[in-house]
Formats: sequence, C-alpha cells, structure tokens
Amino acid sequence: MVAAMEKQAVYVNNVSKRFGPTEAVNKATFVVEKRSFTVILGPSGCGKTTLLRTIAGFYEPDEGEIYIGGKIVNTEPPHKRNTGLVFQNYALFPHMSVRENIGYGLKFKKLSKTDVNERILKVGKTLGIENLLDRWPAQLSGGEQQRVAVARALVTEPQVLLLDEPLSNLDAKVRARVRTELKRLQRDLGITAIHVTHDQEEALVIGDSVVVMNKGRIVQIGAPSDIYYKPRTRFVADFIGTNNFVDAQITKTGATTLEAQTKSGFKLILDKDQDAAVNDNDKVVLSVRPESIKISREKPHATENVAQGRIRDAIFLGTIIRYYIQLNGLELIMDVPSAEEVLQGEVYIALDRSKLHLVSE
Amino acid sequence: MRRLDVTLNNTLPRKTFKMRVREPAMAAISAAMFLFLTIFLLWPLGEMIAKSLIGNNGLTGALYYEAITTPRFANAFYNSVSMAVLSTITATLVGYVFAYAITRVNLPGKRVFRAIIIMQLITLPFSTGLAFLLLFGRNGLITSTLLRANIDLYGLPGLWFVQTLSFFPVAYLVLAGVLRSIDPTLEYAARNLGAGGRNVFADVILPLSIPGIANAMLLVALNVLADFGNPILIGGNFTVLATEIYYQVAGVVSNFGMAGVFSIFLLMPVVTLFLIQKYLVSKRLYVTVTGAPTTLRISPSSLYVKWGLFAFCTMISSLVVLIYGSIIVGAFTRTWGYNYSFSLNNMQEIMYQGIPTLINALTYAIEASIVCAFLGVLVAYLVVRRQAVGRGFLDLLSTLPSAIPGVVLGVGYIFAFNTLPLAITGTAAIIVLNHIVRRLPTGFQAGSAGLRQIDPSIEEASMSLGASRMGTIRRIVFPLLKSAFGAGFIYTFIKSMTTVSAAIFIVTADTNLPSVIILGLADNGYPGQAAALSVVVFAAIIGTLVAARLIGGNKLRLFEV
Repeated sequence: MVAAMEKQAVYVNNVSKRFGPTEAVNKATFVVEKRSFTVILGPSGCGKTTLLRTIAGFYEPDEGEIYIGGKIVNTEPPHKRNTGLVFQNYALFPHMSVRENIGYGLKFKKLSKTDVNERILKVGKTLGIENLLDRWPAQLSGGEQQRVAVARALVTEPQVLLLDEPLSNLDAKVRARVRTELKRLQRDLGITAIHVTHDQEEALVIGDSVVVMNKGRIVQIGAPSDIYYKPRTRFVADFIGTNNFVDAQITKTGATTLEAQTKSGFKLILDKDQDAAVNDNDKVVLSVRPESIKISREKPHATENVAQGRIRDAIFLGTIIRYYIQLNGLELIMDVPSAEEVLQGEVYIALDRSKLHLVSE
Repeated sequence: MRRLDVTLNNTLPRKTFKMRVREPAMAAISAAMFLFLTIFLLWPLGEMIAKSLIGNNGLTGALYYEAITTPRFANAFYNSVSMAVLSTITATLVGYVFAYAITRVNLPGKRVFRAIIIMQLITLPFSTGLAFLLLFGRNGLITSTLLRANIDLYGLPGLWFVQTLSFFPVAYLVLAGVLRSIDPTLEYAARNLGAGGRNVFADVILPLSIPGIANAMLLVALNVLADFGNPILIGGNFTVLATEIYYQVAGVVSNFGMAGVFSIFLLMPVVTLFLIQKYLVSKRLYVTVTGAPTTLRISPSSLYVKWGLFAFCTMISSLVVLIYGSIIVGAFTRTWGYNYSFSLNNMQEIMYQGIPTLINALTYAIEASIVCAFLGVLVAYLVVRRQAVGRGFLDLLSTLPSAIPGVVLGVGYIFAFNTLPLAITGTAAIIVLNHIVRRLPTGFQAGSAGLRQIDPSIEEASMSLGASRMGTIRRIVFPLLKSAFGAGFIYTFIKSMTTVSAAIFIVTADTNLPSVIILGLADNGYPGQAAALSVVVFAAIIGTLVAARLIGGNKLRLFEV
C-alpha cells in the first residue's frame, strides 16, 4: 500500500463538484502515476476542465479528496499546490516580457538572481524559445505563445503539470507536431502530466493512460489501445474513432467465448471479456472497428464470423478506402489500406473474434 | 430522521462560509466597502427620509400633505417632470443625429464635432446656462444689444433649449457606442437584398438602436431631473424640484423637513429611471452581437443625407462654440450688456476670492480622484470576479450614487454630519468624501470595463504559479488596469472640479469651491466675473490634464468617444 502510494503523483478519490443544481463532476476516482502522462478525454461540458481546475485548486471539491504527492490538498489554495497549469488561451501576462512571464513563478521561490536567470535560460533552451526571451507575448505566434506557457509552468518544477486543452488554439498541422513534442518533453524530463482534451486522436497519441469522461462521470480508464479496441460503453466506442454497432442476442456462453446471433441470422463468435457478465438470450450490442473487418471477393477459408454482403459505397480517404457494406439489413463501415484495389458489388466480410467486443449502452 | 440529516448535510452548500475562510482579505475588503457606503451614502439618505417624516410631535406625514396641497410645490414637481420629458426627447434626438453622423456616415470634420461634444462634457455643468444669460438674458448680447428686443426667454423655453444643448452629449455617448456596435455587414446584407438607404435605416439601423435609444433617454432624463445649476440661473419663476430643495435649505426661512420631502419626491422618479436603466443594461438588450469580426467599411450614404447631417451638426456645434466664445469674451469685457471693450477688470475682481478656492478645488479633486479610482477598481474586482460576499448588493450600492441628484446627497450630508457621532460639516474631509461617493460609479465602471477585458485565466495563471490572491491583484490586476485607473481618475477629477449641486450645501467660507462662487456670481448679476472665473477653472482643468498626460504617458485615454 505504501509502495503504491509512493508511485502516485496525484490521487483523486471520489471527488464531486456541483455548481448549484448541476453536477459538474460526479464521484471521480483515478490515480496518476509518477512520470506518466494521463489524458482526461470527453466532449465539451463533460466536466473534464472542472476536474482539472479542482486539482489545480481553483475549485474546492464538494465531496471526496485530492492528494498530490501523497498529501491531501483539498483546502490548499492554488498558489500553495505546486502544480503547473497551462491554459487553453495560454494566459500570458500581456504586460510582461517572455522572460518576466517565465520568471514570474520563481519570484515566490526565494531564489538568487543567478539561479532565476539560469532556470529561465534552461527551460527556454528545453523548449527552444531561448531567443524569444526579450519579446512581448503579443509579438509571438500561437505556437510560440504555447511554448512560453509550458515553459512558465515547468520552470517552477511542479509536482504535476496540468494542461487545459493547450493545443486547441493551434492549427491542425502545428497541433500534430506539438503534441508529439509535448509527449517527448514529458518523457525526457520525466514529468507527471495531466492533460485535458476533447480531441480523441490527441488523447490516444499522447496518453499513457486515458480517463474518459461523460456527463460528469468517469466512464472508462485505460491505456489508449484498451480504450480504442475495448470500449466498455457505447458512448466510449462512439466518441473515439468510428465504430460499428451490431445488435445481437447471446445464444451460448462458453468458458472463453460467446456466441451471438443478429436478427437477420448472422452468427457471431467472440472472445469473452473477463468482466463481462452475460447470460444466454441476453440482448447485447457488439462493437467492431472498421479496420478490424476483412473484405474479400472470394469466400475466405475461415468459417467463423463470415457473411456475404454488398458494397453500397466506396470512399477514397487518402490512406484508406472506406466501404459501406450492406448485409441483411445491417450496414457496416470498414476501412482497408488504399493501396489495395477498389472492390465493387458482392463481397465477403470476416470479423476477427478478438476484435469483436461487447459494449453496454 | 437520521437519513434526513444526512441528505441535508450533503445538499446544503457550505460554500459561503468556506469562501470567507479561504479569502479573508477579500471578505475584509468587502466589509470595509459596505461600511464606507453605509456611512457616506445610506446614512445621509436615511437621515433625509427621517427628517421628512418626523415633525415636532413625532412621526407625521404632515409635511407631505403640505407639499402636495401647496400649489407652488406641486408646480415644482410638474415642472421637473415636464422639463425632463421635453429635454429628454430633444436631447436624445440631437444626440442620435450626432451619433449616426459620426459613426455611420463619412462626414468631414468628425474630429471637430467630437471635440465639441467632449467640451460640453468636461466644462462646468451650467456653462450653457451662463452663456445663455450672456447671450439671451435681460442684458444679453443678442436679445438686448443686437435685437433691442424686450423678450423674456427665462423659464420653460430658455431652460428647455439650454438642457437640450447641455445633455445631448450624454445621449451621444450611449448612442455612438450602440451604433458603432451594429455590424456593417448587416447594412451590406440589407442593401444586397435590395433595400435603399432609407430602408436600411428604417429596417435595420433604427430597430437595432432602439434599446440604445431607451438607455440614452433614461440617462438624459436622470441628468435633467437632477440638474440644479441651469434651472437656478435661467428658470426664473419656473422652479423645479432641485431648485426648490435648495431654496428650502438656503432660503430666507430654511425648512429642512420640507427639503427632505422634496428630496423624496425627486428621488422617486430618479431611482425608478435608474432601476429601469440598470435592468436594461443588465439584460444586455442594447448590444448587437454578430458572428465573425468584420473589416468592412461604412457604406456610403446619399449626398442629401450626408450634407443634411453635416448642416445639422454644424448648426448645433456652432451654438456650442458660441457658448464658449461668449464666456471667454465675457471674461475679458468691461461691463457686459453696456460696454464691450476689452478689460482685465473681471479677472482682477475674482482673483482675491478665486485663487484660494481654486486651490481648494484642485486639492479636493485630486485627493478624491486618487481614492475614487482606486476604490472603483477594487470594488470592480470584488464584483466582477465574484469575490464579495454580498456581490449583488455591493454592485447596486456602488452604482446608486449616479442616480442620486447632487442636491439630494448634499442635503443628506447636512442632515447626517452636522451632529455627532460624525460631525464633519465644515471640514475639507466632507467635501472630499462627497466627491468620492458621487463619482464611485464612474471609477467602478472604468474598473469593471477594464476587468472584463482581462481573461480570468491570467489571474489563475498567477495563482497557480505561487502568487496569493492579494499578490495577484498587486502584480497582475492593478498593472493591467492602469488605463482604467487613469480613466477613473481623470473623469472623477473633472467632475469634482466642476460639481456644484452637492457642494453648495457643504462648503464653508474656508472650503469654498470656484463652481459654487461662479453660480453665485452669475445668479447675482455678475455674469462677467462668473465668466472670468469659469475660464480660470477651465484652464486649471486643462492644465492638470496636460500634466497628467505628461506624467502618465499615452496610456491615459479619456477622449475615446
């Protein structure tokens, strides 16, 4: 237990935050391990920013506890929490130079002047902004402002770096580059970071662990691949990437597999999740990713999860071709690499049993 | 029973208490502000109500009965209201034409028109009345000397004219802001759909400016009702509530109770208008928010419209120029009405009394402006950033003084501070405090406008980097609000230099102010000397503003109208 505590940088235990009658955050519990990058992901209004601000100390939780570095911080004001917060709009002080902005937090650390200058320069070099130190925030591009904001948050060596959608104001190309840099920076410096975003792709790229939120509640926590391939609920499956949902009824529950059948008689077999509690005749929803479906003109050798269908549309999307396939009243979306030839008409599809997954509503 | 307790505990927020514990400094500052406003705003008003209700034999409504049944008093009420209605309509109309011409038409000489409007806002509130005496009075240059006509323009017609000229700039300020915020793309869209210039105005511009017009009318009405200087100079027998209050206190036989009654009568319409206006603003009915920002230029209007507007604005502006011209000329004329030769007589006459009072005025105004601008920013912070415990109430109290006519507050100050526990009548402090309270709404407004432009995340960034709330206010908020502070300072300074309505009740021989002396001189048949002292005051204001600009640099921007 003690060993576990030592690995925790932040522990959010059963935290709720209400604004009047609205429950912004409802009984949130999760652990952020030291040197890990945790992403809180959810649609706008799901409470993710509230949760982050509660960790930063701008809101006091109505219920539950927040631990930073093993210490309960519920009533600590923001300036005593030792968290570094990067804002969506960067919130650089417009009346201070870049150097003054970065050095602001060091004023409260009682450091010598040489120490301060050294640390500003060091963090400036790390982020590649050492030549911008004497500029004013208004003279910087969006990407540069973002780096200054990160530098300002990092220079005080916080126990945890909090990032509130810091990439959302950048254009798509820059965003893709910066998120990789951010991930690299976090790994190289060994920082603990919590990042809030509504961009699922961003979450999958940078997160070691992804906390998915919806309507104030945490709906799933897991590694990016788990979140992607094993979404626990229809919401998660739908929010992250494109997904196919198939309504079916369980026909047989085995030790390691489940068998199910759709209304139209399509028989399916899938791996059983450890924690899925289902019985025969239960009505269930199965999800499968577009890229987990195989397509062929000839009937494949495999026998399980194979069906014949018709291609309704084929769309060229650059790296992939997306097919909309009709089979017995069911429409499935599937992706194949665009290097392959574009098919038409009658085809066979096959579903990998390990990628077919049960979701709850 | 136990279960109920549990649910109660969970649902009842303990936030207010926690907030107090977490931000003791903020709570202390709000408490201090409440205390200050209670003593120097609510208490005088309360004393006034008490005086109006308590006669020799205890609680009574006898004074109210007397006021309603005496024709002269009933007349004052009727005059006040009719004057307010007439002047509001004409002043708003003139203000609208100016606002439309300046913001939405490519008019030549815009800067001149704007400068003329500013002039009306920063000089003595009764300059127009004084100039009216010089030009159209019994010994007026135009009526008596040039036309040799024996006409009497005192009373309603003269006052209506003067109030229109005095207060159209108030309407202009509101309306220019509203008209400027109407997105030019709307005009382009209407034209694109086939609307001609007249339709664009009738179908787009006018409907969108109606909430602004309502707001402007309310503000003008507030100002006209509260105005004291102009009616006393040129009202003649046409008394209004504000002048009647003054006569009840300063007349041959003073009747404080009756002054209280009139104050209540004046407060009723004024506070009603104020609350309506505040509601209108709070509903944000008067802003048109459209999507993306636009860089479209104002679309050209027809030549008839353009030159028609130009002619109108030129005419009104000429009148304003005539006003200040006559005051300047009057200051250096031997005997106005009889001998128009150049002379420094008036200047010499007023120096003896003028210089000490001018020093008083400057001292009080500067002291009041510094405190007022500071308090304004502080209260704005408490209100806008939701840090005060009684936020809504503090907001109301801090804007309320803008609705209280100076005359009423002046009378209230006599009632409250003539006697113990706080007998400060006759001191300089009472004047400075009065200035501060009366201009707090301006400082507050400047502060909150500035604060709304600062994203709260900037303060949060500071706090998450280790600065406390007070440290953040000192290092981040105040430096960023420098220009708001400057605006609050300058406006308070100008208004405190020129105010007369409240000051006239609380000054003494030692603490006298030039504005009070000017009013007295003009009222007692020395318009030349009044003009001379006006010129001196105006020069002092300009001098101070120039000095402030030299010290504060370009950040002090007042004249952004």
